[in-house]
Amino acid sequence: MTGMKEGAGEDPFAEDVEPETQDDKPSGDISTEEAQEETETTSRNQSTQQRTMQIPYKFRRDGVQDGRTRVPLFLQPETKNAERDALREMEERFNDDISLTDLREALMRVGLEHLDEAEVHLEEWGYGMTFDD
Amino acid sequence: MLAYSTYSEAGGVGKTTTAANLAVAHARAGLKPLVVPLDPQDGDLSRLFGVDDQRTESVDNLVRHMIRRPKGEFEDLIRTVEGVDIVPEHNMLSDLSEYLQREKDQSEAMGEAFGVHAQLLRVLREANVPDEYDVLICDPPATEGPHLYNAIHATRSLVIPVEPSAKGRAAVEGLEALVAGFEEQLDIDVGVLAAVPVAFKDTRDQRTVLNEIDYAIPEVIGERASLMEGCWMQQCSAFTYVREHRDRDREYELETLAQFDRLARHLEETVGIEAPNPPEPGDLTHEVPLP
Repeated sequence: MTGMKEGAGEDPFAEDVEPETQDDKPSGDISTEEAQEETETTSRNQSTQQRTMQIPYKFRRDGVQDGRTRVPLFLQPETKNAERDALREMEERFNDDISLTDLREALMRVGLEHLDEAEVHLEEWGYGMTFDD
Repeated sequence: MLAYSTYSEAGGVGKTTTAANLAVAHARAGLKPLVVPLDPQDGDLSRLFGVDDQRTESVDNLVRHMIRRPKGEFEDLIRTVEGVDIVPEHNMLSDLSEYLQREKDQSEAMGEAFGVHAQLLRVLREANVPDEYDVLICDPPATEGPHLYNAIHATRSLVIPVEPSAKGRAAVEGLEALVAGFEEQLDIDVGVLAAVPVAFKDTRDQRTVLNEIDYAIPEVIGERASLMEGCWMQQCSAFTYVREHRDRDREYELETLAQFDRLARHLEETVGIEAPNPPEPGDLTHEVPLP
């Protein structure tokens, strides 16, 4: 059985933003949005760091979406599969349920620290190709 | 707030009676529960509690609120029975899908977004349900559709009454697939608070099926057809039925009531709620404290 974790789901009333289906929203420039969000949260966290002290994010929030901005994420099938494998791997390592949302952001953080490797993927997808002679 | 939807593959398996009796069990312990049943068919939770008398009349109802066409306040929809607040079902639920689609089309024509699966959550939020109530229970129909989706979206946690049979196992697996797709589409995490095997007759096959369920099984409820039928006849919870309509106490029925009490405590604990006045499980004389 996959898909649903044992225990409570997230708190549906935790977030302020009204959830909407993402399908019809334009994808926008994901990397820019994400990068901006990253800087925003970093500066926000710095100002609240003193008050929240040592309590980790997982225990501080009311729901998995707390303090997060929704960004659309579209994945190729092989990425999706790799993500699922990574989730299982991490759940094994922690012997605990891992929220997909947490995993995704963690992967994003790591990626942000490895832009050179990200560049390789972008090149594979055709970035940097020129068609001039 | 503790929020969950009861889900099972078919009506009559115990989904609605489980929702109803858990709601009463929460209320008995001094918590304030709101029940939102969403079954478009008759023979639903509103019927069980006898608050379905207006389902064919053109009164204000939940569907009108979900499509932003309310005729009054949300609070005015609520009926209170056995300490439980209920938003009665209405026949407009039969056409919920069409109503939502029409509203979505209109909104989009005006350049607004309208999430057809997020409307129940919006209504409950706007009505301050998380501040007013300790427990929210949705009882959607088993079939895939906007009723089920809106319920799961508004609660994010499930309690699954399951018939310990090959059919029940298939239903749990079908639900897994359904929810996985839904989680992905809407980016929400859905959890399973408990699986509740019902109509358990302790056969070897049934025990095998039980062993294969991956979720917490705090209680296994035996075959209680006569008790549940009595509840439908008298339009009340099992607690009220045994207390007021049985001429003698049957030990196994009291044990079933105790199981509903314990199950309610278990669900409360999973989200860190402590009931202010929990009864001795199955204690029929326990007074429901008035708010």
